[in-house]
Amino acid sequence: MHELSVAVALVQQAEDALTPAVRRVTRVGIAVGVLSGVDPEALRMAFPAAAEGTRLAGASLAVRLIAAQTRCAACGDTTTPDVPYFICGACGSAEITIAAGRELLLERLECEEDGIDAGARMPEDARSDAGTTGAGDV
Amino acid sequence: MCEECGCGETGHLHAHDHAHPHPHPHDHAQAPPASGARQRVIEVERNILTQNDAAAAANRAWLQARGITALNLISAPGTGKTLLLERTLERLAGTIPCAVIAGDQQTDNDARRLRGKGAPVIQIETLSACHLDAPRVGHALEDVVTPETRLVFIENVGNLVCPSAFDLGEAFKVALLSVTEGEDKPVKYPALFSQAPVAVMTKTDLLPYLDFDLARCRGALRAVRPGVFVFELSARTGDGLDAWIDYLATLVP
Repeated sequence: MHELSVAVALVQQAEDALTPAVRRVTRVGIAVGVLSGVDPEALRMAFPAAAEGTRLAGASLAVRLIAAQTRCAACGDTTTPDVPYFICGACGSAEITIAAGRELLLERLECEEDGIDAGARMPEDARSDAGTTGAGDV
Repeated sequence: MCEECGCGETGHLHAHDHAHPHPHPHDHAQAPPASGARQRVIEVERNILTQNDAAAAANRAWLQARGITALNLISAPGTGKTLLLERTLERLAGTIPCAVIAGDQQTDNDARRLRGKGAPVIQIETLSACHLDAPRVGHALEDVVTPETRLVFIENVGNLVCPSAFDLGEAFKVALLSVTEGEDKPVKYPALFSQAPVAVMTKTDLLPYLDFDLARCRGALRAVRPGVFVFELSARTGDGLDAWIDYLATLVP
């Protein structure tokens, strides 16, 4: 379950990208390569624990899977291999390097920022999970 | 993931032809936006493991500046990493100065086995973690490397999956599998085996007692990692160890 470490790193990266005006994150968009060694479902399980007490608490996680791609030294083509069999899909050569599939990227954060009518969110803040809001904003 | 409502639930079988609120039972952790909030999307495009990768890059530069080659040894528990390292240190003693970083969840049993063989050894107990990460290895390197060190073995936590996601700053990964594990292991665990330019098949002394098909395993290794260097050896009997030791000598400038 190294996905918990990945989830903690994800939350750190996201926090770094947030502006002070962001009250909370509602959706986190990430990209996971099929060769990254990260299981998206395990990451999804680990994410709420990592996000607790941060502005990401309660956010949903949208995972975009990235297929593996190989680049062929023989014919130059970039093709999608039939993982785990890494040969060039164009010419069958084994002289390949992996061009894609190891990614683990934070892509986008859908957020709510403080608006003009600050009073209007008070009841909602009160019923949110502890730590969902309040830290670092206002 | 429930794509329709983005609620983060998995395994929904229901059709999403309904409008919110959902009649089906899963909690929306997310309340609807408050009236005073503005929606905003921040595009990030950032590597999630940036901190680990930065530490790995620093380790790599640190090692290169000292002319040290570091290998990240990864296998399932019980493949025989520690016994291979014991024999390797014995064989290299007096010729190539080595150092070892051994990772395990708990105990310093491996470090104790590896000490007294002419190389400094440091144990990292990862406790709850299933892998070594670059910051921890960076601290260990500073403690274990001496001015003479030329070769560092990083014995990762026994685990075929998790360690493959974390760059430690090594020169390259070495994947090990024992002949008791099944010929198709490389294709079952491509995240690791596709990243390892060197693979070691261990415990070959047991082959007479197994139905293990060496040729099939070599084929699986090459399917996942074309051009992989494959060593077949028994640390217990010493069979095949010469080729491994000779190879290690070529890694040291």
